[in-house]
Amino acid sequence: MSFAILTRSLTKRFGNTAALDGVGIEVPQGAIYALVGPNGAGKTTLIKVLMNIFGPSSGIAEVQGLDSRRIRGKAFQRIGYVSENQEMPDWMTVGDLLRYYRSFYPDWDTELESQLVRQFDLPLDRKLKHLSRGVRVKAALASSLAYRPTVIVLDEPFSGLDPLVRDELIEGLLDRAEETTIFLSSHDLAEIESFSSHVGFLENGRLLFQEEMASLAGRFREVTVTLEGHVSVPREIPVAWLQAEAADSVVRFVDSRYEPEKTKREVAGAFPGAREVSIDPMTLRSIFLAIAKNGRGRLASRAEMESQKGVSA
Amino acid sequence: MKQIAAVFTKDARRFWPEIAVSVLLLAVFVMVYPVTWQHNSMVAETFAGRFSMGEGGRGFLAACLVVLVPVSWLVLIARVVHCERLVGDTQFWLTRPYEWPKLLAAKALFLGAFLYLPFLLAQCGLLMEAGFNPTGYALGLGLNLVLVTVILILPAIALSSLTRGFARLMLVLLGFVVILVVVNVIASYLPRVGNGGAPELISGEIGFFVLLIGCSMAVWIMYAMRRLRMGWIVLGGSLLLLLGMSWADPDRAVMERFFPANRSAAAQVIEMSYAAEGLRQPIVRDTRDKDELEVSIPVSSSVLQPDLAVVPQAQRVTIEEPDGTRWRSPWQRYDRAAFLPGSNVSSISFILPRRIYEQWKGASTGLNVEFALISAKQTMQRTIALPEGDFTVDGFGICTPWSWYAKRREYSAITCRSAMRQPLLTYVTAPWADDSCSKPNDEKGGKMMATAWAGNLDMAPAQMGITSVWSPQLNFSNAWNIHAGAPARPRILCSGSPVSFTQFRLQERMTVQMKVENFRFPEIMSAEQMAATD
Repeated sequence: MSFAILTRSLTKRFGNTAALDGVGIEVPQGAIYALVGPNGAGKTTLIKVLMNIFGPSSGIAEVQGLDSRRIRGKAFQRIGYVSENQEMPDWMTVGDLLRYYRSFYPDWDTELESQLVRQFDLPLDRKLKHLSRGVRVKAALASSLAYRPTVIVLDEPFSGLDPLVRDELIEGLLDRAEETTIFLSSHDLAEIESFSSHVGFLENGRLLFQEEMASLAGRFREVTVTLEGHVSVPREIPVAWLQAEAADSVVRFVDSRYEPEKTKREVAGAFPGAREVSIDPMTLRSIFLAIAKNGRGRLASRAEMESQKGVSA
Repeated sequence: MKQIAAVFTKDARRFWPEIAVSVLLLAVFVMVYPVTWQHNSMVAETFAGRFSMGEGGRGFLAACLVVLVPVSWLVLIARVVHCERLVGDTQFWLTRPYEWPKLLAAKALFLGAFLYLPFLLAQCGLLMEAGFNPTGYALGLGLNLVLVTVILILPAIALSSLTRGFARLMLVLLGFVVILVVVNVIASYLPRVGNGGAPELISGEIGFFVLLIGCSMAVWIMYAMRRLRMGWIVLGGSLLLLLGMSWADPDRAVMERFFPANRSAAAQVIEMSYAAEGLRQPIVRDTRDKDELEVSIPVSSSVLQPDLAVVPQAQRVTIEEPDGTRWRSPWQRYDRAAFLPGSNVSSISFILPRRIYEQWKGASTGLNVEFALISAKQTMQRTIALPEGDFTVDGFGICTPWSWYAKRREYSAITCRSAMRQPLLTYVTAPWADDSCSKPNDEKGGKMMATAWAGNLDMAPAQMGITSVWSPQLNFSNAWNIHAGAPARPRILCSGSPVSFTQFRLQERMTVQMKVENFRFPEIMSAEQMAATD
């Protein structure tokens, strides 16, 4: 299987600090891959290594099969990049910016450019420095989509945007999702949940797991077991049960390897006198909280092994 | 090419105010600078040049523009380089299909169009204004562009490529100035004998190439790799090398090679001998440096060949005792005028550490003085009857007789201008008149000759300068008629008087030795004795 983005044992050090520590990411062609994690997790560093803004300290990083250290010049004719903190030529108008970039891309599609300008409602005659943050990001995105890149990388593109602009941007991205691979970072799980096909969780420079969104949502369930009388959490429970807690006659836990029959069997085995068992799907946010609270280190190695299978599948 | 054109057009649109200011300053410079040719002004011709505030507004403006024009270039260079900043990780262009050779080419094209072209036109304009045809100085114009590039433009590009913005660039420049001041202060406390050291032989060329290679490499490192630390190491290393060179003085190390001794031809050019007799005796006196003394020794020189001049460059003194103990000074710059046929050297002076003097004072020593000399062959001689207006001296420049006061046919001085560089070493003579030019020839005086040296022995077609027109200074000797009991009166040059220009070209470098047996240093001359001598 070919990957649009691939890293293996990728490490980036700044002095004695490891911003990235042995990260292995696989982004399939055509995926919408969301790299999530708290602030300072290393998301921007990873993206900057992929874009050859930083060189890796060790390991491999590839975009469309090209070593990230060789990504420069013409290689950017098929890679798009939009970042929340990217400087832009503020003295230019939006129209100047688009005209200026045209000469850099042989595949620049002026028709698509016009379409994007209309779709994002961009004011062509206004200088970038006079635009709101949302319109600037839209202008940056339009200038990164008009040449139909095969990979587009977005670093916290929705950070600080109002919901309307965010939806416009997502819509604009999804309209081109069929012809490109989208790799974006975010610390807000809710904003990427609705449209991402894959998700990776980065924390303290380490990738805790990565998985297809459908698979992730499918294997996590919140299980609530109601029993007779006061109960406590049994000593021996399956390792996939996270955050198990008991209150009065109710036991709650998160099953991280949910399979309907298997889970029912395990619940029946652990709680023979169960009066009621309810199994509910979880939001991405709840899943991440469960993972985070359960002790990331223990889960990381196991989940990563599973996710390898999931992504490969 | 499309990318180069796009970046160039973008920069031209973006920086038109900076371009306009730079071109305007250059235009004003071309209009104003000729005022400095009108008389023996001391206006700066280079950055290290001289300034005069006494020439009215235009002279002062011209002096300011000599500084302001390069400053406007620095601003222009910094702005255009920082537009696609090479330091940092958030610039828009880093993730766009910029190809660094094309980006660099676009910047070079920008500088070519808005810095070099106006500068070249300004140089041609000044040449034409001075009466020179620019087409005859293509080589000099080209060389000056190269020199300006290596000494001004390339360091500015290198520093701009290593900094985030103009403010940071200014801070770095300020830092360099502070370092230079500190190094100079430290150097002034270190013991050195004499001042000036050896004449420039290779240090200029080494400095040129260190600057060229260091700055080019720093620019290449930043554009091709964006390795900030490596860029600073290369540029900082080059600057340290330049600073170290000024201290180590590589010219001293090659003096023997450039000024060979014991050549038969050298012996025929000039011979120096010790000539103490009667009142002409060695003198030792204090200098401003309490650790150093100045020693003057009476000498005489042999008669030179008629078409030769000898230009002293440096001297070195060795003092030796019969028991073999010896002290040798480093090469010391010799700043006296050139020797001509018929002229006779009367004395030489050198600097001696006080502790050496104290060690050998009163003892009989052997004194060996080595003179590093250049023999220069006469290549041109023109004698011109002084006209009332401009006159051209081929190989020298264009000159104009000039007077402090408006009196027809009587002049106080001759002002000259030369193209692209100071002229080759030239000896100028003219007869002074003690009184009015309207008197008959035998009553004018005319016994005293006005003599002056101008130019240098450098053969390069250009010297680095913002101006393309230089003003050789003809500081004529004997300009005042001094009689006891009468006020001093300026002598005058009369229209029609023969003015001779004799030009010399470097023929050979050599070392000539003068040995003095049984030399004894005299007592240090007191202030009273010195006043009486003067």
